[in-house]
Amino acid sequence: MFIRRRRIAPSLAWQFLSPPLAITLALATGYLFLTLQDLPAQAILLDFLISPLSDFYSLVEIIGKATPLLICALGLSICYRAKIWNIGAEGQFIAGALIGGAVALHLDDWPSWLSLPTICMAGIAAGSSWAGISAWLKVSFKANEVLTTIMLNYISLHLLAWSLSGPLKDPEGFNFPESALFADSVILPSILAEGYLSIGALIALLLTVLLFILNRYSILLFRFQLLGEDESSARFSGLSPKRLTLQAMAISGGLAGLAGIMEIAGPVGQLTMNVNFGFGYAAIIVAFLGRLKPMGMLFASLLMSITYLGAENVQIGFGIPRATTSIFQGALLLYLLATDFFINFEIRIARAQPE
Amino acid sequence: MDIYLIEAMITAVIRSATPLLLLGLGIIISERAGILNLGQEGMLTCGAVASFLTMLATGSFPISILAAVAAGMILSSVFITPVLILHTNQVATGLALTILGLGIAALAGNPYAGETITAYQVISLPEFMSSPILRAILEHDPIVYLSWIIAIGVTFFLRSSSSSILIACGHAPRVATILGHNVIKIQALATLFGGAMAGLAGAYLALSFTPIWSESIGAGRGWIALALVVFASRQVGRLLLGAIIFGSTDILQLLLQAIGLSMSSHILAASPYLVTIAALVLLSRQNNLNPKLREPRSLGQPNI
Repeated sequence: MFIRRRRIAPSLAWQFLSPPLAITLALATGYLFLTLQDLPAQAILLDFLISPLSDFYSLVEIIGKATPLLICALGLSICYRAKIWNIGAEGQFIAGALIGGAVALHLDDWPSWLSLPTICMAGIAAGSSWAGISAWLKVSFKANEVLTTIMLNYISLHLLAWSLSGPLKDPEGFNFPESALFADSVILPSILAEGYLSIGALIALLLTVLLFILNRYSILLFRFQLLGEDESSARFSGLSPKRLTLQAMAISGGLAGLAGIMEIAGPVGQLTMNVNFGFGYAAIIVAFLGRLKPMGMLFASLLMSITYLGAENVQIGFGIPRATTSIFQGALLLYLLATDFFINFEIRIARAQPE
Repeated sequence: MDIYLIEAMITAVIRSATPLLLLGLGIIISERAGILNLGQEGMLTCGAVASFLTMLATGSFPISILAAVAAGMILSSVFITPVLILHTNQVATGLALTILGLGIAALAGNPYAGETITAYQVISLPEFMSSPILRAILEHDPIVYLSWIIAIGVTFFLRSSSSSILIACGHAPRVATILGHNVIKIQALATLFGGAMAGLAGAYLALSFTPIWSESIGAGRGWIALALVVFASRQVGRLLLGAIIFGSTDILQLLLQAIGLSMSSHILAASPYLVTIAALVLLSRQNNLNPKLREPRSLGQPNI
């Protein structure tokens, strides 16, 4: 008979082992499903994971797609450490894109060095305020933040649709729900001589390093963790849970807003309903997969980015719909949560008890 | 306003309240048992695709409904197994279930996007009850009737003495264990019931409400229902009231047209979500003050 026992200390080995194990299990599940449908599982999975890594342009695109995921996840990790369940990175991303984009459309005659920081600040402010709504409702009315952030996700999507059908619609756009193309002066510069990789990738990397340093050498972020572990201890140490909640949400929303504006003032180049939305939800998986640790999330964002490109390739090569990405992502998160069990517990074979 | 407009509005309110009522009943039972399943949207959409595909294949409404219920229960077991055995975080597990469920539904329904089926026919009232208002209230398809029967059943169950075991699991699972109840079994059954209800709500969406397949058929109703249950502080009567209020936001457009106002359809489409936030704000604080309406103490907590 097996028994489970709580470990005396969390297992360090399992902390590193569980993400690769979860990835393996998710791939095995995919293999099983594909085989059951009489599809060439091996070829499809190889195409899914390996083909995005095969040439330079795909690699650039992987980093480009990982950028918004990583920036959103960095912010979410602060909330999740404080056990504030912000599911609203999606809405905050759209808010940043919408407001930042609206500003960008009006600043096309400014010089780049002035307009780019301005639109990025506008995006950050918009994302921060959008998250601030949920934070304020949580601290002053105890409204559940999971639900308010999700409602705000839907509202922001409808707001975007409304803006693109009215105030921000391209007058020469043949009635498509799109804004005009941004002027070159409000497009983020590329850091590559060949191909386009926006400077956002560099900013994401810098933010990761910053968060890593703050985590390791400063008490600033530890306060959020304290709030999450034990609210009364936090209060006892003179911290205000309300203020910490507002701060965590504002930082998280600001980063998601930054990701939003950098996406549309970067690879996309205009406000449209066709931006690859869903980044905000995928970032939640990135945050968990990366164990809420900056370096972990860096790798996790690259992996998630590969699954997006892989799904596109598999769609072209084998006609398998892109929805498979979310099946893979959902299964991955489930397996990860399940294998995390072994960090805190061990399974032992019970010896026969003497009578 | 003429009588036909009122008739149309009552019908529309009941129709859009039904999926929320069904989802809410399932959520009430599982949350009373201490389980917070955020996977409602995934289970709802999978229920919808299961019933839609079964309807295309068999043409039988009862079989399609059963398929949806089964789909909801299968997905809820995917949620509850890791939660109960491996103590996974319920918020994250529920979220994973939603992502997984939406993916499965999109994949399964992909070849049939935009296809339609014949909607469930309403059951006609006998000739002598021909008042338009009465017809608007009573003339519906069988799933609506089923939702009323289940609502009555859940109300009686929550008043019966056997529900105290369920509520004990939600407030103090350890005490329930000491008293000799199998908490894991009770929580698993409550969650399975929640899955069945979400599946049934999905069947209603696909077979009656919008009998044309689109992967966004759920339109956030799973999340709205979760908020509605907070609003209702897990009471069936309040849930019914909430579902009707939310159903009314769906017919806002109809109402505005009647009084000659026009408004952007995008802004109107956002109104149910705004109302949800308003409802959460208005009631969250009040519910925490009244001990009878407080949320189950170990809701969403792992029982280790």
